Amino acid sequence: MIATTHNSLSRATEARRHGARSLTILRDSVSPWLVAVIGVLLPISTASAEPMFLAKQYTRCTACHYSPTGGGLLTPYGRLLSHRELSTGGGTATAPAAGEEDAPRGEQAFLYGALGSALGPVHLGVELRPSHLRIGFPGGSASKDFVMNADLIAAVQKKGWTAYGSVGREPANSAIREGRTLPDAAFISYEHWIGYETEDGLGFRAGRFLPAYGIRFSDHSAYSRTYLDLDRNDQVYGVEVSDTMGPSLLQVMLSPGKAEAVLHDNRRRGFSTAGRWQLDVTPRATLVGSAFYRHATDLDPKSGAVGGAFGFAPATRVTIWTEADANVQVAARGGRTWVVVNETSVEAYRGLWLKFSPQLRTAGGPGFPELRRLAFEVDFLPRTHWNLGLSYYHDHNQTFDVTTSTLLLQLHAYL
Amino acid sequence: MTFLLLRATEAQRHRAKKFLLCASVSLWLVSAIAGFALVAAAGTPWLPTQGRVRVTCPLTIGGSFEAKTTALRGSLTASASHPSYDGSLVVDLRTIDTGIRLRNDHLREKYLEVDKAPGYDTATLSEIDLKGLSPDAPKGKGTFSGSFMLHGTRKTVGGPVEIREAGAGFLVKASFPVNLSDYNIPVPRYLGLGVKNTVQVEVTFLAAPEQASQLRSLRFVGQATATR
Repeated sequence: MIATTHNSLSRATEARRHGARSLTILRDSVSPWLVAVIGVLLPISTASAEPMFLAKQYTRCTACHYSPTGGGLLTPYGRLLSHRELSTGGGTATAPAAGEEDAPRGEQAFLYGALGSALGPVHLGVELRPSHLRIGFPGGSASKDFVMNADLIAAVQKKGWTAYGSVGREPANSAIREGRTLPDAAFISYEHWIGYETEDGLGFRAGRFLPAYGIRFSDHSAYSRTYLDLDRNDQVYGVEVSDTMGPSLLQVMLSPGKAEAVLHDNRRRGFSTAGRWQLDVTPRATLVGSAFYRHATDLDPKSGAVGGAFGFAPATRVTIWTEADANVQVAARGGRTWVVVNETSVEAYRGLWLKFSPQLRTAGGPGFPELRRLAFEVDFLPRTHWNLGLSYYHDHNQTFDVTTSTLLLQLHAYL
Repeated sequence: MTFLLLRATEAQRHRAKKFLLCASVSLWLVSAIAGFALVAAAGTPWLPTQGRVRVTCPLTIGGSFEAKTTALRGSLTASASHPSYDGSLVVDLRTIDTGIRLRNDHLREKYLEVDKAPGYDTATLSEIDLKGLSPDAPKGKGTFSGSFMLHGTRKTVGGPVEIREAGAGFLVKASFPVNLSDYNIPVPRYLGLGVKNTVQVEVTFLAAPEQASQLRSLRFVGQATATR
């Protein structure tokens, strides 16, 4: 039953993300309640970006991550922050001296500093995310234990240049080849790129990466990620140019298509471009505007999205983000949907974050139902590199009047 | 009829004389009081209350963070001749908070070196001179210059200032840039992240006459006692 459910869900997700043709298959093969929970089961990409740290006055992803769009390997500063300022037990630990440029030893370093300086300028990280999932739906439930992530990530940064790459395992029933979901685990490199940034803030990168758009919520199943094609495996092969101008950041991306399409399914390959502008109104308030355009492929119609987001931290332990997007094409039928996501995060105790996230996606024509979600999450960071997350999703498919509840327990190790 | 008219004119003249005398006395009194008030204002120390200092520190990667404190003290005395002020405004640097403890430690110990020598634990703005504001009523928007002492180094700073009436005092908001290298402060860098050389200081306070401030303090003490 579990395997069947997972297979069906994979198919459902694929259908949702790739248009009307697949939706026909979906409608013929799965029951309506499944449509309501799509996007929850499948593996997350690499380590989470955490927009909630706006409360700590971090408005830019690159304060803690190598990637300008967040997520993935932490920089030495990000590692240090996860040690000294975020974990419950790290508050009084010894930190590298002020003025240090790197910290290859100590609790915050790779494998707790076991390798010391042996790696030279190379920074390594391991991502592991064993998880337990339980979905309740009308008439039953299904549960599953699986490893969401198992990746090795490396980065080198020198004189403005950054080289970054990951290798890992995509779980069973997840990888898609020529339109078919593979039943076995597969090799994957979610990101690999090279970039350069001048001291004035003008930069570029080329390779495989997730495009900059809106807010990269850590939960990949957030409606603003799932329904705007910013989910797992939605990285592109392309070039990104960015410019930091005072409190503003502009990022523009050009791509011949999604990376997985370029590698494994040329029928879905199509030009795409995205732009994102961020204005830090204050160190605790940020405004973001984004636009995305995807040209038609052999199988997908032309699509685009435009949206805005606003985040602010009314207190040193509270962050509130709201993003609203118009998906100006959903299906070949020419539908249009709105996606609105709010995420309110509160640091209840040092290292213990509580999140509340109401989400909405409006109906966009036949096959695209109105969905509403209430998500609750508890994130506990007891010690450096360890994060225990418990999420609960209450999803309601307004069109089919079906409600599901999902419980997800994750142990996230980012060694 | 003529007699009546003459009587009326005489009465009116008398009233007019009386009115002129009263008006002259009143004007003299008003002038005297106003003059006294101006002299008193020029000599009255103004104390900063409800002070707030925010230092915006831009990061090398973009974005910025704020360091802030409310520990602003001092006294300013208006000069009678033009809108300049004797006295100083003093910020306690040991209380500056960036929201992150490690960052606070580095800021105070490594960069501001608050324990290095006497005076390193404060930043002082003195010899304040206002420009573009009326000498008689320093209200509205203008600019200021002053002598800023930080990290054992004194430099002249300046920037926009806005002064508004607020109750018995004035609400003052001023800002000015500070180049860290001018004060022999090393540019902060840590694990690949850095602060740019120029930070922006914003000072906001309510300038209240000394007596009003003392009364407010007494009232505060009274309220605190009552609460206990």
